[in-house]
Amino acid sequence: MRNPSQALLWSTFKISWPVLLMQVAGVITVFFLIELALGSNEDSLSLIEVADGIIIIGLIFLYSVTLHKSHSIARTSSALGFPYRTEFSFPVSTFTLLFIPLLYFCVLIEAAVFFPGMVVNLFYFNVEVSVLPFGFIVFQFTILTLMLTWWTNSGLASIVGWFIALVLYLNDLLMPDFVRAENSWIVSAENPADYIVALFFTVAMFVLTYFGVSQQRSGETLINFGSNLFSSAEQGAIRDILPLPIAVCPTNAPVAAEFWKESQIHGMYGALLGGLAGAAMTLAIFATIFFFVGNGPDPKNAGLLALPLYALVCVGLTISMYGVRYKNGTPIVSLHDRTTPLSTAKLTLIRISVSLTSALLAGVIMYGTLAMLGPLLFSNFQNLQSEFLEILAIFSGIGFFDLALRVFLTLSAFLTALLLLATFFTWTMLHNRLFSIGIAFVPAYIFLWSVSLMGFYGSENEGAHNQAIDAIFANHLWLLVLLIPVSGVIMLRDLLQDQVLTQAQMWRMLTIGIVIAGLNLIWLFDADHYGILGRDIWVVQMSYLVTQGLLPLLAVILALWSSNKIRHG
Amino acid sequence: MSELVVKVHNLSRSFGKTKALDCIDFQASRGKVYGLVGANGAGKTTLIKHLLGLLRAKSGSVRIFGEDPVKQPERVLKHIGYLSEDRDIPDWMSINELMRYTSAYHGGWDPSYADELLDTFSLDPTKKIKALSRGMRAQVALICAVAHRPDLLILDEPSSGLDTVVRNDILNAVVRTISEDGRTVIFSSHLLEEVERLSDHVTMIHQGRVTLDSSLEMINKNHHYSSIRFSERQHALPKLEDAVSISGEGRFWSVIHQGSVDSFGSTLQNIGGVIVESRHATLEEVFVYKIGREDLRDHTQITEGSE
Repeated sequence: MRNPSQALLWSTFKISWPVLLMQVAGVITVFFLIELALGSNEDSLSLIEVADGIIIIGLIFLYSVTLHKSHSIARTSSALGFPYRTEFSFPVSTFTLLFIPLLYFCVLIEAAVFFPGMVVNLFYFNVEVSVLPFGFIVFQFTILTLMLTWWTNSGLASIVGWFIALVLYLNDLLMPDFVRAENSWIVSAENPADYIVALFFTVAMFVLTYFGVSQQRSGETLINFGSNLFSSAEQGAIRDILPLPIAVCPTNAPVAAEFWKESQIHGMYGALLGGLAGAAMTLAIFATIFFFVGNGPDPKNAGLLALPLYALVCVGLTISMYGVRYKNGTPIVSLHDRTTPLSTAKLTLIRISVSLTSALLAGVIMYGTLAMLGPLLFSNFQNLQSEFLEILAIFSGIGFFDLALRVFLTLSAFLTALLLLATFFTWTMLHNRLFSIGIAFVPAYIFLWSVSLMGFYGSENEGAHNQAIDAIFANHLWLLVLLIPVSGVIMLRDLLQDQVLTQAQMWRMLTIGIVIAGLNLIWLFDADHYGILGRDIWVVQMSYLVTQGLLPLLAVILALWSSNKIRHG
Repeated sequence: MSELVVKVHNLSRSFGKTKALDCIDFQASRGKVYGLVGANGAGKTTLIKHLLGLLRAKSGSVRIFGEDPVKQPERVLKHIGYLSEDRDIPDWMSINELMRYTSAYHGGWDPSYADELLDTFSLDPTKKIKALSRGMRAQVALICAVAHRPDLLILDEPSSGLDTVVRNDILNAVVRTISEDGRTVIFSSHLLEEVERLSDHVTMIHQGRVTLDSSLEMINKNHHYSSIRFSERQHALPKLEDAVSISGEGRFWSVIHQGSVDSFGSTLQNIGGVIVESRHATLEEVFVYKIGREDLRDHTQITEGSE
């Protein structure tokens, strides 16, 4: 390598080219399969939109991997700020240090659109994939996201930066207002001058990022709010920030001490901060939309807005449930945690109970705050409240048993979802590459089936299309029917072999799981939610519903199995 | 509890194509100090992780106090004190909180001993772990490992990256643990002087295999370093049966050899050489011979074979 720029380029290329190849190959394959299934004809245009979705999913995947990779190069303890920190000591200018990776990642993601687009244009369909305008969107999206991530290592300043960017975006200042020609991929800006405005803000952002990185290079922080609230990646940091009393660690029993430790990291402090932050973010976004749209958003949208934010809070509170976290760019499991003299079953139970209670508590805090502050700030919140009350009304006017059953099953479903999500994220952290491939494979597989079935049923008729989609799920239910009990049995066998569970504990757990599955069936049949009674595919559906009810049991078995694997390798 | 504290039998472990441990047998008895030595990547830490149940024995078996550490982590770990190379302790706790937290797990926690060590190391118990220097973290981690007076103390590179003062503090605490009857210590180290100072028994690991497993006394007794002199210049030495490493040129050579000095002296006399000076070989000299760089080994073999 002749110069620092080449060295930087080489090190970045080395870690990202397989992802690019996968993306290009994946998109081309999907188009090949469409071609194979339907052949080139004008009627298949609607499929382009489906394929469009596949490309977007692929891009998000590629983009997230690229961001992750760019951070893992640096092996820094914090994910905030410029990731090429080890290169700060290299004899290279800050401009080169910033410009080379920025350019490389833009080119990488452009290539991920451009090459498949070219191939599609050349070989498949009589439609044009508009590489250039679409390319501008991708370029703008990539460069802005990277710069917004890199310009400061202050968490609070970063959030403010993202917020300002959102405001600029809503005013069409960062991205021109694109229109898309009917039945085509061609998109263009309504006013060509918009490109110049967008580029002006991009250049301004580059200058800001350059100064930000220069500051980071000399150990400073551009726009430091003096708070480590969001920049500290350390566990338990929240309790030092909140003005709350800190409980004393009990010394009388190991279980009590472990419960104390988990509570300090994932307990009340996190729930309080997460709940308040979720409410504040919802109100902030609500206010932004209210300011720009004028009359305020539809209450339904506001409700939809709060839900993903709450989901984010839940992910934040449960993601390190198994003690896996990123340090220096690599996933680590603390040796201290792994050598805690407590059985894996006890450790898992304590972690699950603390994390899930926190997630519930955060929900109560978040929605409670929204319910109290929302109506004071926005008139539309009255509508949202009445809609929320309508949802709650489902629970009114029913008998005690039904009410208890519904509340119990709702809670059980919620906690199961959280547990599965936490387990999924943990394994994703531990086996990033394997899971990335898996995630990329799933939409392609679903798409392949939908295309095949659409080919079979015909694509002109929307009813037939829906039938085809229904058929996909009906034909795949057996996979879940098999997967849930078989995986459960395999994991239970491992747990018994490693003496994580005794036989008596296993039977107790199975009994509770089967009771929950039974209660789930009672509820389903009581309301006939899926309209399954009397249908031809009743046996498959029935098996599916039984196994679906076993999900809470499977989630707990999976949690124990995962803890055991993580602890003992 | 059995007198045999640790029993590892035929343990093998691979990571991908790399064989980290290859049919390892290792035993540790009550009341002795075992030094694990080996080059970087030799397999010492992998072996220690198996002892702690952090890795499952894929082939072979590991028993600590007669139990499988993977199947019985609670029963095994509460009798073990462990100091990891990277002093992995919760950053967010204060020293005091960490002491209270650790004491909850170990019935034998001795608060006066913990306080005494805190005083010795001049540590402020109200300080957060994250505010401590590398050396202080090591001292805190050591207190957690020894204050419950464990039956088995496992130290993975306890002195790595520490200054002389902290290293001495740690070694003194280990010596104190050893001085108590019935405590077993297993420690890995690059610092062979340390191993020599503390160990009763040395296990050398090279490329996942045990290349030497013997008491320090036997190693000392069996390995000598002799300076020898010939009446005439020698281009290469003839084969000397007990010699394991030869270096030098002309009339003066140095040899590490096994067996008694007298027997080696007689062999040498037959080829016209005499022992000028002889002493026990240091552990470092034995280490270099046993698991030294391949090029050194090749050199020795060439010299040995060039009669």
